[in-house]
Amino acid sequence: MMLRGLEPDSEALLWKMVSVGEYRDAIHSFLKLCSGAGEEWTPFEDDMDETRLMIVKKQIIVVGEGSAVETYDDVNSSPVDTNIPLYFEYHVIYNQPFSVPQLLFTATRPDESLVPLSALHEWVPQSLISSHSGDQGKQYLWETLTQIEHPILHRPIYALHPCQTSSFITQIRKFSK
Amino acid sequence: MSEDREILRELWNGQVPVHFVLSSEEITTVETPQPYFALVPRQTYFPLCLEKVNRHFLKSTSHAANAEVWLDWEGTPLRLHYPVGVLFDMYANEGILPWTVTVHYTNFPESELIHLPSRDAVEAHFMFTLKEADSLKHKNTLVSNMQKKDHKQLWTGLLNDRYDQFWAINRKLMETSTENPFFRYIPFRIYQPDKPFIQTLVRPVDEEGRRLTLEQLLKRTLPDASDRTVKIQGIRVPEQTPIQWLSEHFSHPDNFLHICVLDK
Repeated sequence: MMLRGLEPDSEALLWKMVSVGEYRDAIHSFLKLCSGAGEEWTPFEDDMDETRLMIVKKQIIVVGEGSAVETYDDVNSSPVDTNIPLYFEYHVIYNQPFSVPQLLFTATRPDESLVPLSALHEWVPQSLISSHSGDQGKQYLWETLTQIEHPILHRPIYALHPCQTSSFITQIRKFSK
Repeated sequence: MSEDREILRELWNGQVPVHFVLSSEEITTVETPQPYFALVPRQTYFPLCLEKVNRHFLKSTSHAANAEVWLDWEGTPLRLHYPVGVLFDMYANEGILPWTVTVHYTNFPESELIHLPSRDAVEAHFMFTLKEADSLKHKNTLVSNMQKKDHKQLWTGLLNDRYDQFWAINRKLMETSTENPFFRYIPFRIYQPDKPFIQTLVRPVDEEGRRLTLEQLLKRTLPDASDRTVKIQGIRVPEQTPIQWLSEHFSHPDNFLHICVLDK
């Protein structure tokens, strides 16, 4: 669900190493596509360093009874009821050591507290980690979806490990169809 | 590299004296608990070595035995995902020894600190950093081509303080040859007080094939810094040292050079 909005073209990028130039071109194309489709991604540039181009999107996901999930882009349009809204903020950055784009995100509750990583791990459907059993499955989760120091903002943020991103996303696409 | 192997063991065995004090907010008993003193290895991470500290202090606080511990130095929360030696060099510096840190079990500062609540979490963080260093050093990464058991050996070597076990695998990541005497890029991070760390792409040689020195690396990354003390592994390294050599000999187990730049 969090990956709705990543166009098919960007999936190809996640399979191989990309140069900074290719990353920047892909991001600019992606932004053009998004503005046409009404998707709100905001770019941030560092004048001193072109590798630090980052795009950010905010989204509200409402977790209802029985894990029904709906998404909203605007806080004013989400229903005010017993369902709990969670505030997600997605960042796409260029991971220089691995030479690939990387997806980072925060997930906070209405009281501004962080949704714990353990809760996020629980949301990952079993089918995505089914090839790793028992303890290995648990470790696979820690290696795939972790909390890191944001390479640009230097504060805690959740991250999809670059090496696992392509296989993880493939599984999600299969699952969400 | 083999001639300088003794240096590897010396650095591996480096320890720092730490004085652990329980935060007054945590104390629920009438008596103030005794502080806890320990020599902590430079190469490890705090979440891996606080078992005895926790056992000592949890007698004085009503908080659950599995509460997530965090530390601060003079009000500054310590980033537990940095190696102990780096934190010591940044904050203890030339101050009074032992280094005093305050222990907390509540009010984890979520906006500032990354959670490392389990060994799995620390292992994942360590391996991620190691893979990052590998990706920087080698065009075709070595770690991803290693067997799972070799990854485990690196981790358990660090965890259990087994120098030989660790270096049996790590030497493959530090190897160079006559055809390829240099790493692609040098994995390093520069730490300065009250600033986020700096990490950029720097090759160990210049365009003429001359070895880049620490001084040159610092000139490229910190052009404005002048009067300073530079420490790696707690040692004031001569700035004429080539960074290729430093990467092979002064890196932490995560294969990164953690460089502390402090005001003189």
